[in-house]
Amino acid sequence: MDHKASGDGGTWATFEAEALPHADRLFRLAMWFERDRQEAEDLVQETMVQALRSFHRFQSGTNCRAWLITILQNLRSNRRRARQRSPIVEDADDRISSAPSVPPIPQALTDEEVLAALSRLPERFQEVIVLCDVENLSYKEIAAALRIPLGTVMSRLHRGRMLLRSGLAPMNGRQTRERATI
Amino acid sequence: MENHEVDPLGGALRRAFDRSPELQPAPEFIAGLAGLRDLQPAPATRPRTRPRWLAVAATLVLVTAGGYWSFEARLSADPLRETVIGDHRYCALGVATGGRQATGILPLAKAADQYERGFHVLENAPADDVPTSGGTARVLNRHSCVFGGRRFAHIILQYRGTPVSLIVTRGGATASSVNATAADTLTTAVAKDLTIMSVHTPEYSVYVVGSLPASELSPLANALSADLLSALSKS
Repeated sequence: MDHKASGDGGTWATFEAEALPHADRLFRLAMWFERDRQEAEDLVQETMVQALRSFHRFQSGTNCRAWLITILQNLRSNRRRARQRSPIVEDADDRISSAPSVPPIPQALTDEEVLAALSRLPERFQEVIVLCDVENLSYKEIAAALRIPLGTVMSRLHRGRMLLRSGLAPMNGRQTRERATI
Repeated sequence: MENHEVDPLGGALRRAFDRSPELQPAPEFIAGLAGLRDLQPAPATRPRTRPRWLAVAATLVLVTAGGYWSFEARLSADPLRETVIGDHRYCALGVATGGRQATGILPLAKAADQYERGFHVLENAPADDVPTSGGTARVLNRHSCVFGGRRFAHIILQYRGTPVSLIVTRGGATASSVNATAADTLTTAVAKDLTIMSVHTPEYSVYVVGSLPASELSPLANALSADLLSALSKS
């Protein structure tokens, strides 16, 4: 069922109940990619403004957070174009679907170590990993949010996870050394 | 939603995102989003069936109040009014209460260099004290901010004990609303307990917004718009 402006505050009440609770998570997402609090707040505010104005198009019962993230990602893309940054392009790495070995995941990772390793990945890999593993979006929702084919989502996810594990591999060595000194 | 492979690192990533202090929003930012309520779409109007005599009577009323009707029609055609109200509520009242401001806040000079050259005018106009027949208004803050995806020059004044916003943005005028060569063409609207007085040039829209009644706000709006229109026309 679509949401229609009821004229009695019903639209706002529904928006407040369904969309606003996701503001925290939208902010974390925006903050991760923009690395600037002001820019992240701008993005989230503008996302919410656009979402409110087009809330009549949101299909009740579908994933509201995925819908909001799609709006946020569109805004990010528009701003990126406006700044005339180079666009994200699919490169050869996107199509690499296998790696010779899968590094084991270190056991006692700190939050800082995980986030530092993630931040060292190219942004196109970070995007799919964050949307999938942090935001728990489906492949289809990620493809819609990032405007990339489903196959690209899957290959970037696979490749990104491999790179992330490789980035965390040195932690294995550190942990082994720490255990040895105990 | 289709199932997808669960990565063992996913949990660690989620926890890291949820706990990282750098990634958390300021509580006042989240609370301030409630100010977006002012932007909710206008209620949909539906045609209703009425007896013929009632339609005739309604027509007579409309003809009698023709001037007023055209005035209101012009107001409702202002595409920016809701956004300006939101900016006043979200930004000016936030400043006045020490709470949340709008986003994208920049000094006017920087915003003028980066986005809108005409904003340079507002670095000095109006003056910090604006004498009017209703008392003197004092400028509290000059900045540029973003609300509803639009960049504004925003000057917050204290006038008759209440914050008043002078808000300027490029464009925003419709063909019928371009009226500004003199301050006496100010358009007045009352919405959401606020009085909004506006004047549009082909290049800029100028709004004065406050909670004062129109009779009290108009001396200030006239003074501000007269100064600004003159300065903007030379920019």
